[in-house]
Amino acid sequence: MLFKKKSSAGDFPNLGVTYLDSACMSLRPKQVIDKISEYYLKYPACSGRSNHALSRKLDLELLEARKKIANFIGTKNPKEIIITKNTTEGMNLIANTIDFKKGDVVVTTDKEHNSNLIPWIKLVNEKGIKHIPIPSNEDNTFNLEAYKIILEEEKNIKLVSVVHVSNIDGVTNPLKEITQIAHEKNILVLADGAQATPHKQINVTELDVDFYAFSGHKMLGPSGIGVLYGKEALLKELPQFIVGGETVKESTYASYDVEDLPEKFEGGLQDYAGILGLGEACTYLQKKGLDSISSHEQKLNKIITDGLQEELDNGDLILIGPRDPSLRSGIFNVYSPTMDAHEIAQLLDKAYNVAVRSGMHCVHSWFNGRKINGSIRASLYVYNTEEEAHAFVKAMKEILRLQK
Amino acid sequence: MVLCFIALPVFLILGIFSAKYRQLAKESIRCVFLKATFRPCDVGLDTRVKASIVGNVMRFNKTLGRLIYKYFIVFSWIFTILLVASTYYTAAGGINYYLYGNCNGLDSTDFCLFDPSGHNSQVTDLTAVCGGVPKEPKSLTLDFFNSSLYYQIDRDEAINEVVIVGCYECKYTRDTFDVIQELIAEETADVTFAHLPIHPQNKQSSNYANCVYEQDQEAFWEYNQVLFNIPINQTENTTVLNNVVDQLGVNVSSCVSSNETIVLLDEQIKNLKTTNVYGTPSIFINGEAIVGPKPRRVYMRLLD
Repeated sequence: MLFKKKSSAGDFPNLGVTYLDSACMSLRPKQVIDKISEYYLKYPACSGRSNHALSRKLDLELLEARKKIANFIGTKNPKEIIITKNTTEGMNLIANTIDFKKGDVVVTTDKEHNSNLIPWIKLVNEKGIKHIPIPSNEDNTFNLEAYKIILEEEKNIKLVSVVHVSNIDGVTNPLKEITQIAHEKNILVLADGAQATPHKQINVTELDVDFYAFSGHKMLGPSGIGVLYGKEALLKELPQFIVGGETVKESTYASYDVEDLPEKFEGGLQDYAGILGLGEACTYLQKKGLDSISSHEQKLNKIITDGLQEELDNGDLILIGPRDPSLRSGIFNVYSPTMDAHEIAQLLDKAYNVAVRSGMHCVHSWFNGRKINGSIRASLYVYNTEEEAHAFVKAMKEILRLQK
Repeated sequence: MVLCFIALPVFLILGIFSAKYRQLAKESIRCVFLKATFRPCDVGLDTRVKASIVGNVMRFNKTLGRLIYKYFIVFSWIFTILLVASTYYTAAGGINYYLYGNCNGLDSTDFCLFDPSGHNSQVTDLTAVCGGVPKEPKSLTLDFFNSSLYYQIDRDEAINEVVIVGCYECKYTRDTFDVIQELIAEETADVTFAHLPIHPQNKQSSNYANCVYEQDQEAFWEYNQVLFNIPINQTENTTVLNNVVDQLGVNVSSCVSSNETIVLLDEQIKNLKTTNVYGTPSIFINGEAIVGPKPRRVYMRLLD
């Protein structure tokens, strides 16, 4: 396999394109791919069931990976790391295990990914709970005042479930403050960390968040693997979600003993290669340094934002989120009032070999609420270069000139 | 918007061969349906096709890409008109092929996609070049044709008139032999067979034919059948011809070299020139001329 030489010391595959779609799916470094291969080549066994050398080796590797993941998000307790398929499954686990009753309230932001919206709408329809989206500020940043008012006025709020870093604008919500305010009212807090964990140092202990879900595929890890962090005491109280193999210690024809954490929530044989790959991704990101990655992304985002300043000023492009690139992580999301987003994305792809995402980015509610048909999102990551940022700017300028 | 109308047939055809175009074909159908019912196309197909075309062009030439992008509607209309026109001509070609064995009509010898070798339009022309194709086909006519000079089958109940101009030593007449036999046997038709010796010097088979016909008309049609089935290089061989007539029980020895026979053949050839026949086979059915070895259906369609 050919690996990219111009960035991150040749760790990433050279795909022959300017890849600016990492908010959807990140590339994987050689180290992660090698770790996945290692499982299949050296100890492709079952964990926690068989008593042979391969299985025991896998047990140790998995425990090590779980510790790495726990350490990566700032907890020392690997029992608080529940392996899931992805963020969506983590959010659904909470939505389906907290005992919501009619009249209970779930508060979210107004720009949630469908994974943190649809589970609540489903509960609205099925159980009669109430869902309240907090309106954002004009520049799409979190409206803390509106949040406080809602928490003051609503008496039956059972859960605050918010995105940590938005996938449509890269804006980081003040999760620590949000959590603190919620906890003052004994309200649980769940955070969607899918776009945060790849780009910034996360410390769930400092944030004091109750639950935190994220995905492997956005943070250099394999696809099909994710994590739900939960405080041990809370996870112990929650009932099981998916039950069956691995989730019980013992069973008869009529009863079973629930397994301890984290297996209690990890039904069926797990994606061992995925877990090991995710552990390796955590190691890789920590070695690179999340602060360094974050500043690299912001530098590239500034190149793009400054490069397209004229287009943003004259209204050829409309930016989603604040103008200051340092507030938008690695996300540059714009739409044209006159050109279709998919058309621009396809032109970028066909004519310039630039891969971006177009559409509503699984945040249909936000776009539909503002009657915007979609946007073009360039999302930057550790492997992107300044040359690629400049190439994107040049391509966008030329595409926008097509109409003139 | 107009792009959907072009995309539909294109993707439908491509979808037959490749699954990746079937979804696009479905979207094209929806788009055309919406447009046909005066509603906006909601699948974005036109946008994607436009972006794909322009993007691919821009990869090589940005100026040309910009030009196509700017005038995409104009190009779309041009291609739509071309599509409609080509569809019309393709359909007309298909109908012509069915009716006349040639996409371009009855007398045409132009290229036909359904008959790429041009077999259906080939004739043995009067210069005796097998496979020769006359450059300017004339309009064939029976206005001055004297059928009494040739070999006839008159039937009381006949409602069709068939005149066959053929040649024993001509490949394309031989290719049509089965149809010629079928037409000769056609109970509803008066049939005339005119033998046109395509090589001016090769007149023996014609002289034998005239003599056989004079003596025994039924024997002539057997002679006719045999001459179309023996090797071409034997059709003017007198030994072979004598054997043929001997087996038919006809004595033509004094007739074939008689002055009357020579005069008759000259008259036949002279009269055939009035029909403007330029090659064989040329078959007239109820006055309509068919030149070249056409499919059977072309002849049968003209019979009442």
